[in-house]
Amino acid sequence: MEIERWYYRIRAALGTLIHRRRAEDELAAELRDHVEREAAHQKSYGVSPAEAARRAGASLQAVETVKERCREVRPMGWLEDLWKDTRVAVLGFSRNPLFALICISTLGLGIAANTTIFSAMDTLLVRPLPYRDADRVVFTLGWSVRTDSMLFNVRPADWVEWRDATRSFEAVSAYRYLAANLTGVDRPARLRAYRITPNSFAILGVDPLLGRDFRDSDAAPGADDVTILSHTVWRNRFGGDPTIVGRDLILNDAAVTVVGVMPPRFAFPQSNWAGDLWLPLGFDVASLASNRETSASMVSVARLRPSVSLEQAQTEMDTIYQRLEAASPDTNAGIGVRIRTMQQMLSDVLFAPLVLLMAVVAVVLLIICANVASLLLARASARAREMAIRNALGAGRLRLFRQLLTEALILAGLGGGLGVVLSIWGLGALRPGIPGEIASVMPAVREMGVDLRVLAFSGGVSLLATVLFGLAPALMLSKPAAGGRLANRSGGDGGRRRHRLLSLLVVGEVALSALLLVGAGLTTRSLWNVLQVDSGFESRGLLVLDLTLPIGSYPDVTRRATFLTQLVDRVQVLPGIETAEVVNSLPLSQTNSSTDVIVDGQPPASPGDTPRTDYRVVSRDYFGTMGISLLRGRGFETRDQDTTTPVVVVNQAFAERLLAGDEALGQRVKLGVAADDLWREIVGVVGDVKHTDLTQQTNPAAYLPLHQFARAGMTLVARASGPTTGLAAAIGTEVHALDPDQPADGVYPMERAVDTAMILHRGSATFTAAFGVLALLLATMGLYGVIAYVAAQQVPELAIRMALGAQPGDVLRMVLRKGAVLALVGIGLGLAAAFAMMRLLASLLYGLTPSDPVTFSVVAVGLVTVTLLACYLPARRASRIDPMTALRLE
Amino acid sequence: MSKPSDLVQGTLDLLILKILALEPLNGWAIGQRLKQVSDDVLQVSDGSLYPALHKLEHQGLIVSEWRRSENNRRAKFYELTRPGRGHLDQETAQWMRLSAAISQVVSLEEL
Repeated sequence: MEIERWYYRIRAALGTLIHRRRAEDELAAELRDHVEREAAHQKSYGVSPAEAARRAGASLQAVETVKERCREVRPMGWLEDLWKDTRVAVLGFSRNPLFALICISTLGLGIAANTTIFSAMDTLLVRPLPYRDADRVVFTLGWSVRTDSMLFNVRPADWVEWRDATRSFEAVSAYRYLAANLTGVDRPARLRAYRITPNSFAILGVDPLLGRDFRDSDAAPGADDVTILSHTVWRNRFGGDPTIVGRDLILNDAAVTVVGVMPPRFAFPQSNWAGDLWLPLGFDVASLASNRETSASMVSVARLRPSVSLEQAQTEMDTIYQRLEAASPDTNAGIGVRIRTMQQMLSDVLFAPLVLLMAVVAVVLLIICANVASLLLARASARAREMAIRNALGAGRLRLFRQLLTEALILAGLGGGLGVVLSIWGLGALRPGIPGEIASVMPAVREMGVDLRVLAFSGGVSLLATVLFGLAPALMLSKPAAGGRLANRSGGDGGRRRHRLLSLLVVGEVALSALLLVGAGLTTRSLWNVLQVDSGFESRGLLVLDLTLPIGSYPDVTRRATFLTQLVDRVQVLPGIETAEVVNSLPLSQTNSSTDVIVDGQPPASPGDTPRTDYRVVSRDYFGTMGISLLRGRGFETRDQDTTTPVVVVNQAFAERLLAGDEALGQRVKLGVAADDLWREIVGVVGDVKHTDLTQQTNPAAYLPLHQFARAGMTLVARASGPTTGLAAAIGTEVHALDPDQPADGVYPMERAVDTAMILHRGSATFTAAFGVLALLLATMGLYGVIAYVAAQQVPELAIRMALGAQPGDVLRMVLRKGAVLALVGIGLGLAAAFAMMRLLASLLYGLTPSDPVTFSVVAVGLVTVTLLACYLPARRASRIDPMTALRLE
Repeated sequence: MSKPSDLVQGTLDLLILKILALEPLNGWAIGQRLKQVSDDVLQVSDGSLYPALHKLEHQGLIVSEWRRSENNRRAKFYELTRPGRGHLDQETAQWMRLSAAISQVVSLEEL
C-alpha cells in the first residue's frame, strides 16, 4: 500500500517537474473549464450571461491566485522557484555581462588562490606522513641543553645505551647518510643512500612492495651486504624490473644484493634528503663503549608506545641523559635529546610561511567579496524599481530575498568552479617548478593537488563568500522600504542605508589592503636585506659537482688527494674555465663538518664546553676560486700541500671568537679532526662565508690543506670565464677520463644553491607583494567605483548647488572630501591592524622589525596618494556637470 | 497567506475523498456535489478546492485524468487510488470516533 502510494506520489511530482509547461497548460485548462461550467450553470438558473461570467470569475477569486496556490502544494515547489530565480538571474547577468564577468573572474581568482594554499597546507601540515599511525613516529633529536638548541644528530655511543633501556618506545631505530656511487650500470650514478637499523621500516609500519624487509642478521658483522630500493630508483634506474630482487648491484665498489623495493608513496627520512636506497646499519657495541667520543653521526627515529605521551617519553629521556652525564661528564656534559613527532618537525618549518600565505589569500578574498558586494549594491539602484514592481505584483519579501541570494549564489558558484579549475591548473604548473632540494626534504610537496577535501573547502569558501557579499545587499534590497515609492529614483531611505553600507565596505577594503601592503612591504624589504647579505663568496659563474670517492678505489688520503689534484689540473685547463678547486663541504650545500678545537696557551675548557669550529678541507687556491677575501697573512701555497707542514687558515669569526681578539697569525691550534695531534700554525685569516644559511651568523671555520685531509665526500667547484653552456659535459668527460666509474652528470650552477637558500624569503616576498598589489588594485577600483556611484547619485543635488552659485572647485572639494574621509579611516584602521598583527611575521623577516617605520610610512603615503587619485577622477567629473542639462534630465 | 477557512483543515480533504469514493468527478462537479450532499451547509470556496485537489494528488491519494464528460466536453476527472481508499477508511474511522466524542461532550453540556 505504502509503495503504491509512493508510486502515485512520484508520478504526480514528475508530471509537474518534467512536463512543467504541460502541467501549467492543464492547470489553466482545468480552471477555464471550471469557469465555463459555472457560467453555464448560472445561466441555467436564469442569470444573464454577463453576470454569470462575472460571478463565475469571482467564485474562483483571481484565477492567478488559485494557480499560485496550486503551484505551492507541489512537492518540489522550491525547486521550481530556484529554477525560476536562476533563469531570472542568468537573464540579468547576460543583460549586463561585464558586471557578471568582473564578479565571477575576481571571485574565481580569489577562490583559486585560497584553494591552492589550502591544498598546500592540507598536504604538508594536515595529511599524515606515509607511515602507519604516523603521529606515533618521533625523532629523538640531539639537543644542546646548554644553549637550548637543536643538534639533530645523536651519538651512537649514547644511542646504544638507551635504545633498550627506554620504556616509552615500542622500538628505536637510527639512520646515517651515505653517498653511494652506483656503478656497473650504463651511467654511474651518485645516489642518496642511508644506512638504517634493520627495524626501521617495521617502526614506520611500511612493508616493501617487492621482496623482504631487513632482518637483524643483515646487520650482523660479516653478513653479505643487502639493499632495499626506493620505488623511484627502481622505476627510473631499473625500468621497474620485476625480477630485481636477488640482483647484485655495485655500490661504492662493493657488491650488495637487492632484497626489496619500497612502495610508491613511501619516503624516508623526512627533514633530510629522502633516500634513494637503504642498507642495513649495525653497531660494534663493544668498540662504541670503549670509545665514547664517537661523533654525533646519526639520527634517531622511534615509535612511541600507544599509551605514552610525548611528555612522558621526554621525561624518561631526560632522566637517562642525566644518568649518562653523571657517568661520563667528559663526553656527555650539556647534551640531551628532544622528542618531536616527524610531523611537528615539518610543521616547525612550514607553519609560519603557510599561515602567512593562507592569511594573505583569505584577506584578498575578503576584499574581492567587498568589491562584489558594492557592485551588487550599486547595481541595485538600477533595480530598485524592478524590485518595487515585483513587490507590488505580490512577490513577498522572502521571495525577493531568495531571488537576490540566488543571484549571489550563482556568482559564487561560477566563481568557485572557475577557482577550482584555475587551482588544478596552477598546482599542475607549480609542481614541476618545486626545486629538487625542497621536494627531496619534504616529498609531500609533489602530492599537492585538488582532492575531495580540497573541493569541499572550495565549496565552503564559495558559500561563505556568498554570505559575505550577497547577504547584506539581499537583506537591504528586499526590504519593502527600499522600493516603497515606485517613482523615487534613488530610493530615499533605502538609498541612504545603501550609501552607509557602501562606505563601510570601502573602508573595510582599504583597511584590508593596507594590512596586506604592510605585509608585502615588510617581506619585500626583508628579501632586499637578504639580497644585500654578503655571502662572502661570488656565486656567479661557479659550477659544482659533488663527488664520492669510495673506499674500495680510494682507500686512503693520498689516493684521494692524488685523484682530486689531477682532476683539478685537468678541469682548470678546459676552455671556458678559469680555475677549479675542491672542498669537502661547500657553502649552502646543506652539509657541514665541525670539530673540537684547542688553542695553544688558553686554559683547558670545562667538560662539555670545548670550543667547536667548522672545518673545510680545501685544495690550494680555493679562496681565489670562490672569491673569498684574504684578510691577513697568506692562503695555501704549493709547499703547504705536502703531508707534514702543520698549517691552518681560519676565518674572521674564528679569529674574533676563539682567539679572544689576539692577533691570529702565528697562533697555534689543535683540531679534533686531525689524528696527528700536531699544533698547527695559523698562517692566514680569510673573510667569513655564509655556510648553512644566508641569514645566520657565521660559525668559526678552519681551512685545512687537501693533501693531509682529503675526505671521501668532496665537491669540485669550477669558475667559468664566460657562458657555462657545454661546460658541464666537458667537466664530466674529464672526470670519466680519470675514473670511468665516477658519476659525473650532476654538475649544477652554484647560483641554484643560493636561490634555494633564499627561496623562503623570495617566495614570501613575491607572493605577498603580488597579492598586495592585487589588493591595492581591487581596493582602488572599489573606492573609485563607490565614489563615482555616490557622485552620480548626487548629480541633482550638485546641479542645484551649482545653479545656486557653487563653483566647480567647491563641488570638487565636496566629493573629494567624502572619498578622502573613507580612505583615511580605512588606511588608519589597516595600519593599526597591521601594527598589531605583523608580530606574527617576525620569524620570516630578516634585518628589520615587524613594526618597521619605513614600511609603515611608505605604505601610508602610497595608499593616501592612490586613494585620493581614485576619488579625484570622479570628483572632477562631478564638478564639470552642466547644471541645466543635469536638472532637465531629472 | 490565507488558509481554507470555511472548513476545518483536513475536513475538506476527507469530504473530497468521500465524494470521490462514490465515482470519479471533475473539479466543478465535486464542488457541486459538496453543496448537495451537505444541503448547502458546508460551503467550499473554489479557491480552496483546487489547491486541495492538487495536494491530494501529490500525496498519492487521488489521480487525475482528462476525459470526455457529458455533452462531449473535455474535463479533468479525479479518481481515488487504492491507497486513497485505505486512507479514507482510516480517516473516516478517526472522524467517527472524534465526532462521537464531541457529540457526547456537547450532549453533556446540554444536561
